[in-house]
Amino acid sequence: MTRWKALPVLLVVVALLAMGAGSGGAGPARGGTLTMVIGSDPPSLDPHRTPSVNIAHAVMYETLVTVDRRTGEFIPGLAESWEVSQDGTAITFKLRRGVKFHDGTPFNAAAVKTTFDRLVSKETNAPGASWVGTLTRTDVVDDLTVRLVFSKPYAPIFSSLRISFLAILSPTAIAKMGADYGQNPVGTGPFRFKQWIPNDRIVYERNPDYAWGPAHYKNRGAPNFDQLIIRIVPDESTRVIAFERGDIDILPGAPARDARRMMREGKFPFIQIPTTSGTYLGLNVKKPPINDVRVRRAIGHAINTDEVARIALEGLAVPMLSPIAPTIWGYWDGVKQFALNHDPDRARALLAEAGYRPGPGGAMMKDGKQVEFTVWTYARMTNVRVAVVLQSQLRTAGIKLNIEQMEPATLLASTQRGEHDAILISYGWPDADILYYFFHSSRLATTNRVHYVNTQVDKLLEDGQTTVDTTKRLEVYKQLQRILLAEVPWVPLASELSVNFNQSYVQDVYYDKFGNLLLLDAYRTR
Amino acid sequence: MMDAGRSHWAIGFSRMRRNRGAAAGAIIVLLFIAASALAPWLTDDDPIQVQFDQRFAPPSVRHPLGTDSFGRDLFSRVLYGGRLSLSVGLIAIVISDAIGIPLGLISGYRGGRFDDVMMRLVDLWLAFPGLLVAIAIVAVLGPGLQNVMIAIGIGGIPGLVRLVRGNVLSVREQEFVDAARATGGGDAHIVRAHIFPNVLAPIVVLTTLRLAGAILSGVGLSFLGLGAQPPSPEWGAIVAEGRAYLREAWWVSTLPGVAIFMTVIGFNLLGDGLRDAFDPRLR
Repeated sequence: MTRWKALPVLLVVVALLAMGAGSGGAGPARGGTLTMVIGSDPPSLDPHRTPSVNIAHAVMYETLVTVDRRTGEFIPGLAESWEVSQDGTAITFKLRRGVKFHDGTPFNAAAVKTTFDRLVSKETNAPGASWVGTLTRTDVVDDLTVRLVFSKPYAPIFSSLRISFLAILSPTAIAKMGADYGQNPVGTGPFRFKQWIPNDRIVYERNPDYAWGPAHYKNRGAPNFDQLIIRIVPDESTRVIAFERGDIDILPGAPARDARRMMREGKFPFIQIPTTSGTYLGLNVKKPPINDVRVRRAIGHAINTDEVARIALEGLAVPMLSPIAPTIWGYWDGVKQFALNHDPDRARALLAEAGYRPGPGGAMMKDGKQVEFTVWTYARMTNVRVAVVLQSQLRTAGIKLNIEQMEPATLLASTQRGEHDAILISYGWPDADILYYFFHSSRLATTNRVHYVNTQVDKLLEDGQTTVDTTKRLEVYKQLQRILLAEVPWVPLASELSVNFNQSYVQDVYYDKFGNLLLLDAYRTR
Repeated sequence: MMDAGRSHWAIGFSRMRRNRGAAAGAIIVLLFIAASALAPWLTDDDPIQVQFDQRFAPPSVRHPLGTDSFGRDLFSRVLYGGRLSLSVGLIAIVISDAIGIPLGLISGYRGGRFDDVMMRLVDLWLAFPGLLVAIAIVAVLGPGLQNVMIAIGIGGIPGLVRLVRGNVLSVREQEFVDAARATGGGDAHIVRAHIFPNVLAPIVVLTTLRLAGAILSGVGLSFLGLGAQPPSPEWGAIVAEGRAYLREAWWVSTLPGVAIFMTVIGFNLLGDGLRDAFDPRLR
């Protein structure tokens, strides 16, 4: 058992050393094909006609803003710089010079305007249109300057701007292809589209003109591979077997049980990547006995998130200290000092303050009844495992937890009506604005499933949406995280990790904080 | 009539004793019932106590069936779980018997409009697979062992109604029923004293066979997360929890699976033996 635990850490070290050794030589080798795998076809390769975007879009399209893979800060993508107006309702972008689309069309302000006009038009009815928030129009200032104008400040826009939904498309290709853009997609990215065989593969080739890679790459020119193939393999096990057989070079997001085994066997280099998802225990603040904040705090202190990550989630997660997962924009590192640290004695003391006394078997009792609540969760393996671990931890603090597994639809409907004590579910989102949906009083009958009402929090959540200045905006979310950890409508539990494997002959594959694959520096040693 | 009845049972049981399969079935069933009932005397381990430093211990003297992913002793979990899984089957059968037998008796004895309506309802009901009906019922009632018992119990009613009614139809026409009526016996008395004892044998056979099915359905629903809720050591729930670890800790799912398999085969052998012994067509 102890041997197992140490092994993965050791392997990462070995893998990193091996990678370092490889890249120390004469420089990356050119040529060859890189093959990776995903689980399903993208609904469309036209970012305006798909409800979800993934790596298949990210390798061929580029956005105005991107994220530094080390710091997580917003850095220039297709825009060289930007400026937010005093009142926060306009953002002016200076665009990069000399960028060309795959079809030869020059990239300029007109292209940005054409793209965003198409994205928000009623006629397009793009599923991704909501990502631009309150955007009302796009103005061309000059050939390489463009201004986004909003009806009221929309602060999450920067988190949106790096997502492929807001990638810039070729105006020539839009005019020519119209609704068929997805069959012949044209972007500015390092790889250009070649062929898509549905349910089998998407093939891309090297964009030889590419010379505008973001600053976090060593290689800012064309990629090293001649060809990139994204294989589409719906079955999890088949994906893993194909990778282990060597048919696939990169396996992102290996299923947990195979990931654990492969990490132990140590045959392939891997990287554990944080995700923007968070698992939490949501406490209905209207339901006794957890309507008492002291009981909620006691629950928080009784829970050991380290065990949740290590035992329940088999080490494929990191403990979460704040309602915002560490990878989400707006997370504040200083939250550590306010976190609900594991302290069963403190939990019992808080319960004693709330009028509970130790009874038989260490149970904390009031009026002959033990402090007890029921958590609802999906019949999903990881959720149930987390619930079992919480149950045993709470038992140590004298609190009884009952677990009930439910259909997702039933759970969501019943929690909106406030019939539950607590829920154990997960969410995933790139920006702290997500807190608005979970805690604002206007969301009471919908996504505010903990039925939490706090006018100060409401105000801060609104400020978070309208404060475009990122430094000031971060202050807003610092305050929010402090309040939420003191009031405990949620006990944050863990943020899952994705384990990505690659063949040892593939070097310098990077991922950004959001788990996106970065391929410009990558190369094959054979 | 009473003599004939007694000899009928006597003949049946003497046939049973000669049937080796039935005897083996009875022994297996008794063994599992005894082990579950005596669980607190057979193990000192708490079936729900997690021990994170004892995770995935393979079978050994300390843990005869090993431990699971939370370090819980599987021997203890399987013993205590047997109480749950066996009683789910038993109570479900009691529920369907309590409702199905009276309905079948009335339907077969009264005949007429009541029988017509009853049989169409049964036809309708039987058109849906039993487990599907049970899942639908649990979806409405909410998850939990109690609701699983009700769901499986209700799901078993139509088959039973049909069997009882068919047997009543043949018994009803016999001379001793006419005789009872001629001597002034009321309907309730005739059904209770003359018809019911004569349809009891097939009911006993079917009930035993259905016990295996009911246990399996209960385990299945818990496997799907609709039955026993964590940390309950119900067999289906244990198998479900362990299946993600089959490659590294085969014992977690496999050994409770063996317990399920043995129990079901035990009840089936016993039921088959009973049927061979009491089926009038084989006499």
